[in-house]
Amino acid sequence: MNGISRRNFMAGSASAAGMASLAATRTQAQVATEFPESLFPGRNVNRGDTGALPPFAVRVLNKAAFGPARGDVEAFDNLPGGSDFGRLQNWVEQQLNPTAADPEVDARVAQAGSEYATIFASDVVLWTQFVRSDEGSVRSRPFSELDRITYLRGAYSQWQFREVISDFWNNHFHVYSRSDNETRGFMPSYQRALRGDAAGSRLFGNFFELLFNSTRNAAMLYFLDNYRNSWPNPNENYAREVLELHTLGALENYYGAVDPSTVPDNAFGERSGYTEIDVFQFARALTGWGVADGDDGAPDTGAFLFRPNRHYDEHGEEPIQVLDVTINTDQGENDVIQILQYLAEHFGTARFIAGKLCRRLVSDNPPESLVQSTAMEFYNRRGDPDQLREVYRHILLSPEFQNTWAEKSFRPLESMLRTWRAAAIEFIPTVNRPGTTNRNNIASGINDRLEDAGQRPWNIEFPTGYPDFKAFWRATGTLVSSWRLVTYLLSRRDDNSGNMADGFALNLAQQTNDLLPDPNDRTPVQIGNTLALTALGFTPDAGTMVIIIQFIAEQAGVFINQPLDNGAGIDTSNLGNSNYQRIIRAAMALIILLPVGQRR
Amino acid sequence: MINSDANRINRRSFLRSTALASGAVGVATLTGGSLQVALGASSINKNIFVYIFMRGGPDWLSFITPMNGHPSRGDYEALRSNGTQVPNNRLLALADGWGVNDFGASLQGLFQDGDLAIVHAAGLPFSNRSHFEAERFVELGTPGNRFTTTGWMARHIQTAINLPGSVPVLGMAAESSITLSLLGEVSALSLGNPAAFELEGGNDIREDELQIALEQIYAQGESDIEVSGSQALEAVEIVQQVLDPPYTPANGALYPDSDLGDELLIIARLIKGNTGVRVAQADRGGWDTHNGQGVLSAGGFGGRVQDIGDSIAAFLSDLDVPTGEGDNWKDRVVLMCMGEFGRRAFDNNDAGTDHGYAGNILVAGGDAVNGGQFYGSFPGLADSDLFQGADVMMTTDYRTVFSEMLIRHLANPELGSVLPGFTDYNPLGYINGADITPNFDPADTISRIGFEA
Repeated sequence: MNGISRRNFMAGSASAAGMASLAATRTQAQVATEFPESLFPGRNVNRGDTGALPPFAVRVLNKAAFGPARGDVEAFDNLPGGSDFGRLQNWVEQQLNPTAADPEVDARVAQAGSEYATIFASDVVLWTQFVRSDEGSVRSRPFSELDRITYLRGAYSQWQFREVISDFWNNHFHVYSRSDNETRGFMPSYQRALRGDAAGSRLFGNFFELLFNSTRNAAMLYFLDNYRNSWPNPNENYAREVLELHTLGALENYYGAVDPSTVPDNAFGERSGYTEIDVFQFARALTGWGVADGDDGAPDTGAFLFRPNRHYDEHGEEPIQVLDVTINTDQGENDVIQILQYLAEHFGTARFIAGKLCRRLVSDNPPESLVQSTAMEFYNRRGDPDQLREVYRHILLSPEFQNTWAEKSFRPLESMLRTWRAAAIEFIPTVNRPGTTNRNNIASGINDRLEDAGQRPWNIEFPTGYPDFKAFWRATGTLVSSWRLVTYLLSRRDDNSGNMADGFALNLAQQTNDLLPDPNDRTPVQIGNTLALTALGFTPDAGTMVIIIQFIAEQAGVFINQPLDNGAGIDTSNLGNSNYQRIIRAAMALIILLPVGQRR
Repeated sequence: MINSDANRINRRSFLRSTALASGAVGVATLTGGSLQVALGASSINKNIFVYIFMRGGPDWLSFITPMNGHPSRGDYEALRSNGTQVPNNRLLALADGWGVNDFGASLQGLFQDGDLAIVHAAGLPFSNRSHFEAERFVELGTPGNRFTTTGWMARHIQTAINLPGSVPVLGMAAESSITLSLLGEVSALSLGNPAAFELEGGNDIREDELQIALEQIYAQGESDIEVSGSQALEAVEIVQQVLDPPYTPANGALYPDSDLGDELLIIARLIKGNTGVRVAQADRGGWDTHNGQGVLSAGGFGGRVQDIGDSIAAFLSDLDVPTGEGDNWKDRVVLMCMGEFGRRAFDNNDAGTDHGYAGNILVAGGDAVNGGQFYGSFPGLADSDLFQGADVMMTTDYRTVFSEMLIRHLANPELGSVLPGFTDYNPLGYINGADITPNFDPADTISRIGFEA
């Protein structure tokens, strides 16, 4: 296979080649049919998976935000800079410097009263009142609130890139929230450990700080079994995952069960990867790390606790050697800190994280040139307090970021948030309806459906976090469940008494009429164009628009330029759960679920 | 009133027939005469392979354990002094001095009935203690190659010439996402929660009309998102038709109330519903027991052993009914359970075990399995027997186990494509089936299935 076709293949999905081979290897004589109809015909997959190229602002907002909310495209286009690139620079500059204030989010949090109390509760309160509670519902409350504020922030935050990148690091340093009671009740603390402060400064700081703080939080220590790691039989789990998932990466830098002295140096004079011996040595260093959990006379606060009597060096063992780090003498918990510092600054880590960031923001198969230049930025700035901000800037301003489109599609969580923003849904997702003890069933409904779709936050039991390649998310099960969530959201409605169920407000008919005040303008053509423009931020290609407009016309029983009020039983002044409302909801779902609405 | 799912399917069928079809779309119908399988060609293989991946790496020494009198029992007890030892009186005898953890009573029953074979000390050709890598090396079927883009079961589907050309569900994973073993097979169905496998909103969002419009639109495009979407929508129809009617498992089979029980139930129904399933996968996680393993606990390892045993027993019992073609579904099935690796021979201070090397493979089925015995050799637990003094040594390459099943059960000789680099076809004898000459030639493999040999 020559280089070009190999690259084309790698750029696409394996499935394309799979179907081609299926066709190529079977002869008619060998094909028997169990069913009369061909359900999965071997259609050739056209790699031009782009459709029409949307405007620059839409591309940026679909890739570095959870899609455009109302007004976002216009706001982007009104930025100074005089060109797409100039406006992008201004947008990136804003987004890379978020503040603690986030009015759209803050107002809704305030409106929710105490519904997000655990998000802001101190570590010791989370531990003593929630983790240690006898009641399951109390122990689960903090992670339930965390799910919900994650949706709130994703839907409404003006600091969209912060929320996108927060999701990235949440997955990189993943903790399965339902792993233990100590994770369930402590998740808000873990989220703070990664975000740093209300502005999310740690997400834009130095990678070491993120890594270091992840290692010392009780949620991580329990999830990866490091909460009572002790000599002489250390638990290897956490050491392995720090090397494999959080720093160097297994695919890239794991050498297996070989003599570490046989591992070559990289271009920077560092031992280029880790071996089983390094895993074991690191696990040794991690002995003694744990949590103040009331054990051994310790207080029961959930704080990080180093127990010297469980640490290897209390027992007169040999020095620790992890890659190029040699620790000869007892330095207590500093043993691990030295190793973490080394790993955070290793080029292998730079390369691994750069690859993941480029995969998130640009493409499943990001250009090697971009990964390498991003890795160099990460490596060269390893001592800088704003290392990560510079790395993000490097990617976001790269030609590769600007010029790629449709290399990715929205995963279920992203699809849900982009729908929320596209339809301008007004909803505060909380455990209970604010001010009552009634469960907020729509928020639970979102959670359940996101779980079915396979991307509820913090809900994958493996420490890898959620996969980030599109073939995975295009499996039938995830795709259908993800679409189901979109139709669920768009079909929530009031109870016909004027009260919006669970405070969920979405009146698409009203929205349409606000944009088309004259009933004579409410034709399939105008409604289709208006809905598409408001939902997607641009008008799709003519072929797609024909589909949308015809759908509306068929549902309303009118011609495409005829007002809907001429259709049988259609009254566009009826803004309840009317035929009109239903047609508009269906049209909005169609726009979002069409291929053009799925790409990023 | 249109409320039942069956009515909704009928309504969609009606709507489709009257739609102003801007592009007619072929839609599944499993009703009436079309269910009669037209299997004329004798070259079509009807056998079924079900793969249960025990994600996390099970502690097989707590699952299939040497009993008193077994030469390794003494070493076993010495290695397991930190709370993970299964006492002799908690083991149910199988054969050769081995017993199964007594949570696995169902497995003992299957073994005694000749429906369960057990392979000793199987594993990767070389040790890898990373979940991430070991899973890939097993499920992608290319140990050592980190960048394979297709799974071994996907390549089986893609290279077998004895599969029907067009069935609704040739390969499936009873998971919400596709598994690594099926990675790259575009037609593979992933189905975690059938109740969630449809759009939602009813008439409030004109769900049926919306679904039909999406079907028509997605069927027209050829980008990969459109092909995926189109197949997903077609799968919705098929799954509803098979899974909506009420169902009582045959022979009083009682599936455990567990994820695995639910998944095997779905697989059984799709098999018996004539959707054409040939390979299916279900995952059973929870085996990564670094601490508090609970080898004798219903809430820990013990409960998982029971779940595996009871789920398999129910599945085989449910399939123990005629196919309508003169044979029995159960006799078409081979079910295989394995993890990415076994665990450390000795336990750690946390009453748990760390990542190790070789482990057992369980194989269950009807006539297709030569059950009631062990296969391969157990390397022993003395210090010098262990890999690096720590793990159970591998004596059977897992590809030896796969290759026998591929050839004798699925009759696919294309080992060079499904298991590239594996050239040592040496069946253990656990499958009751005929040998055919393997083709070890990976020629043209790159262009066909996308990895560098």
